Amino acid sequence: MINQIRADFYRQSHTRGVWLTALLTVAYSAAICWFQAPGGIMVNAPQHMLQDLATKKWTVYDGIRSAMISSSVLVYLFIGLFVIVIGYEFSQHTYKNTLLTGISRLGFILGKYVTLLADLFLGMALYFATALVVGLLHGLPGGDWTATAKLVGGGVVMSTFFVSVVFSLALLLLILTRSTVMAAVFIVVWPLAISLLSIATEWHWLSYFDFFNTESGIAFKLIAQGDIWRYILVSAVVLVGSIGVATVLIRRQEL
Amino acid sequence: MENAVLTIQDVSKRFGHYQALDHVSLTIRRGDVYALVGENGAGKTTLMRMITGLSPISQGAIVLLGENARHYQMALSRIGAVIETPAAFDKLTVAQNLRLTAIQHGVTRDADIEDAIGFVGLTAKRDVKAKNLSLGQRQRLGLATAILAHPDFLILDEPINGLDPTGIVEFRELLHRLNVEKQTTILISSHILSELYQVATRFGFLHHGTIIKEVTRAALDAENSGGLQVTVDDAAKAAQVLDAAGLKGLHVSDDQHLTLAGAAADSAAVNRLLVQAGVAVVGIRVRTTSLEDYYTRLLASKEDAQ
Repeated sequence: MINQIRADFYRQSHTRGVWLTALLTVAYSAAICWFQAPGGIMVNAPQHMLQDLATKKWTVYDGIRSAMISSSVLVYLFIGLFVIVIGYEFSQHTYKNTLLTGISRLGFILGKYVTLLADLFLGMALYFATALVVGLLHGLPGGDWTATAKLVGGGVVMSTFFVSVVFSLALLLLILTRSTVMAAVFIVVWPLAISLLSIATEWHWLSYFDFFNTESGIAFKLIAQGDIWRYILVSAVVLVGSIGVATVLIRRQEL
Repeated sequence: MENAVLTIQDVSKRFGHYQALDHVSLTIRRGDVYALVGENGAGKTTLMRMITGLSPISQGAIVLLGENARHYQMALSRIGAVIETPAAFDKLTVAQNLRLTAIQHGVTRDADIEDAIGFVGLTAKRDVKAKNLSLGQRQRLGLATAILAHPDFLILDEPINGLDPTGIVEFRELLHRLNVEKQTTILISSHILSELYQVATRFGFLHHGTIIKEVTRAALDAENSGGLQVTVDDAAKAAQVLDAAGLKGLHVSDDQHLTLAGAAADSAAVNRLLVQAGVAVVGIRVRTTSLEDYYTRLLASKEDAQ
C-alpha cells in the first residue's frame, strides 16, 4: 500500500492537472483575500457573517474566515485530483497493473483514499496558507494570532476530513458504476442536494450528511459544541462504510 | 508437483447462463513456454484473468507459485502479466510509466528500468508519451512493465495482436530470450498459431471452455510428421514405380507432386527407386502438418466423438 501511495504521488507530480489545481487554489485564495470578496457556492449562506465581512475593516483573521466561508468552491477544484488519482486508473485500465503488484483489494482502496486525503490536506493547507500570506502582503492587521492559528489549523484538518468523506462516497460510486463521470457529478451534486433537501423537508438530521458545511459550522460555532462528536461520528461511519463496501465490491467484480 | 509454477484444478466459470470454463485442469512447469490455443470465446482470456486474480474464482482451485488463493497476493507480486490490451498512463512517457511500475513493485535500481526499456527495444522511445506510441510499441511497453520486477512467471494474453511481421519476429525473439536468459516461465495465448508453434514448448488446446488436449512440442511434432512430399517431372509414373516397389499410402496431388504417407517412408530409398526408373526427382521433403492443421484435426475429432 505504501508503494502504491508513493507511485500515485510520483504520477501526480508529473501530471499537469495537479499543478494547475494548485495554481487555481492559490489564485482563488489570493483573490478572496486581496479583493476582500468572499464567495462560494452555497444554498444557505451565513448572511450575518457575509454582512459583517462586507462592512468591517479586515484583519488577517477575517481573511482566513472569508477563505473558510468560500471554501465550498474548492471541492469543484479538487474533483480533478479525484479523477487523476483514481478515475484514470479505471478509465485507462491501469488498475490491472496496480493489482498485479500483489496489493490486496483493501490495500488498493485504502491506498487511494489515503492519497486523496493527503492531496486534500496539502490543497487545504495551500489554500489557507495563501490566505494568510496574501493577507499579510496586503497589509491587513494581524489581529488575534491565536484565534487565527486555531482557525487555520482547524480549517485545514476539518476541511480535509469532511471533504474526504464525500470523496470516499464518490470512490464507492466509481467502483460500483465504473463511471468517473458519475462519481464526479456526485461530488458536485451531493452538497447542493443535501442542502436543498434539508430546506425542503426540514429533516434536520440531514445536516449530519452535509459534510461540506459541517466544517464551517464547527469553525464558526454554528454547530453546538456538544453536538460536534455526532457529526464526526456520522462522518467516520460513512467513511469506514464507504471504504468497506467498496472493498467488498471490488473483490467480487470482474475487473 | 514440486516443479509446478501453476496448477489449475477443476476450475469452472459461469457468466449468467454462459459456461465460460468447464472443469479446466492444467499444470505449467518451471521453464515451460505454455501456449494456450483456442478460438475466440474459447475461454483463454477468462482463464488468464482468473489466474491473475482479475476474475474471482467461483469453483475449483488455482495454485500459483506454490500458493493457493488465500495467499495469492504474495504470489501475484512474483508474476508479470499483460492481460488483454496493455495498460499505461497515456500522459506519462515510457520511462515514467516504468518508473511508476518500479515504485509500485518496490524496485529501486534505475538500472532495472533501463534494462527493461532496452530489453524490449524502446530505448529510442523512452521519452515519448504512451499515447503517442504505436500499437506494437505499446505492446512492448506492456511487456517491459510485466518483466520489470524480474517475474518468475509471465502471462501474456494475445501479445502479438496488431504487430507487423517484423514486430512479430522481434517479439518471438524477446520471448525466447526471456525464457532462456532470464529463466522465465511463460504462459501465452495467441490466434497466430504459427508463431505459437515457434516459441512454445507445450500446448494446451481450449475448446468451449474445456481443455481437450495437452501436448508437448516433441509429441506434437511426432504426431504431425511422417511421410514424404515428392516433387517429380511425372507424378503418375512415379506413383506406378513406388507402388510396384510395395510402398503404400501414395497420393498423387497433381502432375508433379505426390505424397507418401507413413513414418516408415525412407527418402533415400524413394529417391533411388525413382532415379533408377528414369523419373526426374526435383525434391523430396519430410511432410509435416502445421499447428493449424493439428488443431483443426483435433476439433474435428472432438466433434466426431460427440
